[in-house]
Amino acid sequence: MSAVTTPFSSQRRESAADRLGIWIFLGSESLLFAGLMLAYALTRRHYLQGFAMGSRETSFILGTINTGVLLTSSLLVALAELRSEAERRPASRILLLATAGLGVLFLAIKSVEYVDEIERGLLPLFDQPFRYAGPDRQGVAAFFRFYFMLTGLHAVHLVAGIALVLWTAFSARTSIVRNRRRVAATALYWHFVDIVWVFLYPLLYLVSR
Amino acid sequence: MTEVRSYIRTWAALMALLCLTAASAFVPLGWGNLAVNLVIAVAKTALIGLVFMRLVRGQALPRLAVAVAALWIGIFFTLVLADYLSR
Repeated sequence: MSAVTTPFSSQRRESAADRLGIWIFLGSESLLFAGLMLAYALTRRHYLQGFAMGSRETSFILGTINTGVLLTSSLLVALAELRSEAERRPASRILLLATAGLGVLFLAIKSVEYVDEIERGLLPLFDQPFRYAGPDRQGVAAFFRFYFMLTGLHAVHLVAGIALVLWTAFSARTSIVRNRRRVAATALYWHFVDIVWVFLYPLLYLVSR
Repeated sequence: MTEVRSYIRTWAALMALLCLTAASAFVPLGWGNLAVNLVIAVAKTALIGLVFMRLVRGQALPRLAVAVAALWIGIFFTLVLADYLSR
């Protein structure tokens, strides 16, 4: 059985189409996040002090560790792609599982932050009482609305990424060629989710320290 | 193996940039802090995109897709900011 699917004339063309398809998808995803970041920029300009005070309420240490976790997971998924191309499937699978593991670690650390922030009454959504008592309360509430919306949307993407990575790692019966294409597509998506965080980290954690 | 080495070097550069951006937050530069943070975020994105996502050695079509996305984001930001910042 040939590994090429109609209408493609060669494997090379098929995988080129794969990559272009994912890139176009990532391009449209980037517009979603860019739109929210633009709204963030305009709101921040309006509440300069509130955003500075709000950012100080986030955990610098956990946010920084989490950035390191995601950057490292990107390295692992890139290595998994190299291994799959070298037809080293067991090694590729271990690297994919490690990638998913770091994704889960990121979410665990993020949950610790969420629990702490919600307990301190910093969630201005879902009719929760907003208990911040410092200056520019309205601005801080606006900051936290963006904080939860942006990190929440990112977390949803990461959950999808983890599911995708695990599915790729465990789909044992696919052909070598198909596996290679899946790993390549999954890796592109994972890197994108990492890049989104690369922007969220300074915009949310480093406004003012 | 050269690829593995270049990936690991890229990762080391990403971690160095992370330390730099984290440390810069404690140096009061006013608007300079935001500028430094954004320049570093763009540099990290470039490293991930060019090396890990293979924009450098891959085919031209993905580069075109990235350029188009960047163009749309550019139009989007320019038009909205031109309105808001000139009020």
